[in-house]
Amino acid sequence: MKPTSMCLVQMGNKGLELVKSYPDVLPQTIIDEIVVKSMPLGAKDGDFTSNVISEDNAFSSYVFSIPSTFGRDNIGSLVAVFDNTNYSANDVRKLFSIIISELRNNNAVDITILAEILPTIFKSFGNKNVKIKISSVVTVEIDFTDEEKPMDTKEKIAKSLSDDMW
Amino acid sequence: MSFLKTLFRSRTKQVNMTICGLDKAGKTTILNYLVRGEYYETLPTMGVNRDTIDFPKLKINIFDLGGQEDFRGLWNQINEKSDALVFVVDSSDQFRLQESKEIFYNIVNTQINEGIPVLILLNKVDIDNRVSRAEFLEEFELLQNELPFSWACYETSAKTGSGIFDSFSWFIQTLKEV
Repeated sequence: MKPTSMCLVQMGNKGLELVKSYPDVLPQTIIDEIVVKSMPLGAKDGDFTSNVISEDNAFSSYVFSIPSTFGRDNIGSLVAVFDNTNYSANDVRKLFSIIISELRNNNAVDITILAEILPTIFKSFGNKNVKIKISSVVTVEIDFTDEEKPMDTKEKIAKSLSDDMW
Repeated sequence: MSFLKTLFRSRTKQVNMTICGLDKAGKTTILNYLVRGEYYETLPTMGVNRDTIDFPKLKINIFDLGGQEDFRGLWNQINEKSDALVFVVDSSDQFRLQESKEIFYNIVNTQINEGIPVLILLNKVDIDNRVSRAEFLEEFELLQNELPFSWACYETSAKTGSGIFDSFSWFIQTLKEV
């Protein structure tokens, strides 16, 4: 479930704009479409959207607020682009929401930091443990194994029996 | 009973109101203040925010339009169905007054229906180094021009609530009379 590319989009002075794509392999027409569709009308912090672009490409994006020390907060989105539609959008949502939440806990939801760690996020797809270095002293570690603890055989049998009974 | 309900409902006037202005002028903050009565931090509006306020015999459907250049293409479609316009100007951003003026005249000359009331809010008056109401009226040439609609200009702060009540009292009264 590796994406072909990842994009970081934010609201600029004129409208939505691409901050960075990694790896930079997408044609400009696809990028233009992603930028507009990654934050649909009415989008707000925490929204998640998936969409098909061109013939075979699809993407999922997670919208988040970007705190500002001066002026109002901004809005941005993290986008994973795939060359097929057979990926798990739920897994993308989980990964993105946890990453943003962890960054928020470290006061690190900043567009510069996000642009820097985009390659790390790209490489972390499919991994059970993700380490993201956000500064020389802070490394965010996310362990996905807790989230998807496999059921042991006894639990499986009990659940199967319970399902059969009901 | 349903006849009575219909009769009662017909007495409630329903109007559509749009809030326009440059990005970061404070449009959504004003909308939030109107609806909730207090200041809330906002994010840039992605296209349109929609809300409704019910007054006795008056229901206002409010369309708060995103101010970024890319969203301005949407304004025309919404403004042409609007019964009232609120135009918000950031009084602390003197560098963009000219841009704001161009947009204002584009809206009132080409997008809105003839004769609808226009409320101009000179917002963010809680910030120092801002343009005064007199300077603004001069800059926007509002007193020199013969404008074909009723308008009023108020100084407001959606952060402190200053001027919001007075400005919308005028507006609501005008809407009830139209």
